[in-house]
Amino acid sequence: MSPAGHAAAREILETADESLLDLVDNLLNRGVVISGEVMLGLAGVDLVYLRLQAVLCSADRVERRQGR
Amino acid sequence: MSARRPPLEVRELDSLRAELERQAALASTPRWNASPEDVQRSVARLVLTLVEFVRQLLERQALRRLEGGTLSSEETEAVGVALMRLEETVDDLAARFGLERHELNLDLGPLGRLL
Amino acid sequence: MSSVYLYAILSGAPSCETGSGVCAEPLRTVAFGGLVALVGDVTQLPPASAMTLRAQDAVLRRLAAALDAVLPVRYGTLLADDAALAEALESRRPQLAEALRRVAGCEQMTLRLWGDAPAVTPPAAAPTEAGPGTRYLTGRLEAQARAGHVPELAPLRAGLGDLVREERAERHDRPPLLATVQHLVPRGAGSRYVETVHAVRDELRPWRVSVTGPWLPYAFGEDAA
Repeated sequence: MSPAGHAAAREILETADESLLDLVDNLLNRGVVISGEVMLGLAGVDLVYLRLQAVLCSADRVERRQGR
Repeated sequence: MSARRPPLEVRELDSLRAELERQAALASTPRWNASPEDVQRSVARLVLTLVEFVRQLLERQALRRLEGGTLSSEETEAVGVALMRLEETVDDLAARFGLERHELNLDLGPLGRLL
Repeated sequence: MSSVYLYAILSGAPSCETGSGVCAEPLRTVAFGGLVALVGDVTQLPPASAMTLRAQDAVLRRLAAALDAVLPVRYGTLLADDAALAEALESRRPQLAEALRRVAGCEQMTLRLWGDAPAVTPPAAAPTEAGPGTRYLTGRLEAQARAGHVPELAPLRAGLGDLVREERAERHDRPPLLATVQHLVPRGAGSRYVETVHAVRDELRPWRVSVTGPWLPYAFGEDAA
């Protein structure tokens, strides 16, 4: 999620409504994860964006697929 | 459906909010950035965070295999020793650069779910 | 330049109209070999406000009424196009199919455990004949198990019986917030669940619980950690 998304999320968290807090928890922290992202940078400048989808996979699953 | 139960006390709400903020921060795109002021320490932090991240991925998967019974006892011992050594190495190197463990914190978060 | 915003994975094509999404965009479904994805074409990520989050949840609830199983996808899942979506889903297909089976006909109740200190559980005895690597790994496994272990709720579990199909629990190191527990229950069992929580309240002392729900099965879309 972008930094802007997080600033907004932090704002919603100001609420005293437990149900809304759980809604935020459900949508932002739970739910199915389809892709992971990593941002690498230097001196405050984002330089490299990695998107990990099919790349991250457990080895035994890969070996099974390869028939080993 | 939130009726028929007392609302949360203020300090309960505060701790819930704090926990959700912590998790929301982890759920964001992990960002690793080396600052120019102390380049050596910064780069060390970046590198060690990456190593620690990979160590966590490996540990997570090793535990899954251990639990699922797909590791032989020799493999369990070998992988266990390797992970133990890796953890010690990360701790040693971090100490040498004056870095605390929590500075290398990069919880797997959503990335761990992809395994 | 539009992107594909992924809302949920469905157990099949919904019989009702898909309607509109959070950005008032028309929703559509895409089938990927047994899985159906619910998506919207958007120009940017919908901002995370109370209104949009509620709207996203409402979209899913509307479709859940016409379907056996809906797996909510994490907020903010944006992909370049349908091809990228197909690629991303392909490697997760067996897990997603399994998750759809798991949550069919069910909903989620969220429980928070409150107290000043957790229950004290003695650590398991270490296997003495094992080598150091094995002891290390089994120690880590045990630590992982304890992170999801909430013995304080034993009286409640007894009261709920087989109303709970599955439990996902997470301990927090943050008194008074001790743990969060998600329970997968049959659809419609929400009020019976809340009544039971109310009925066993005194037995849970010194700990207290609060409940919200029913929710769509947000916490049950992934394999248990």
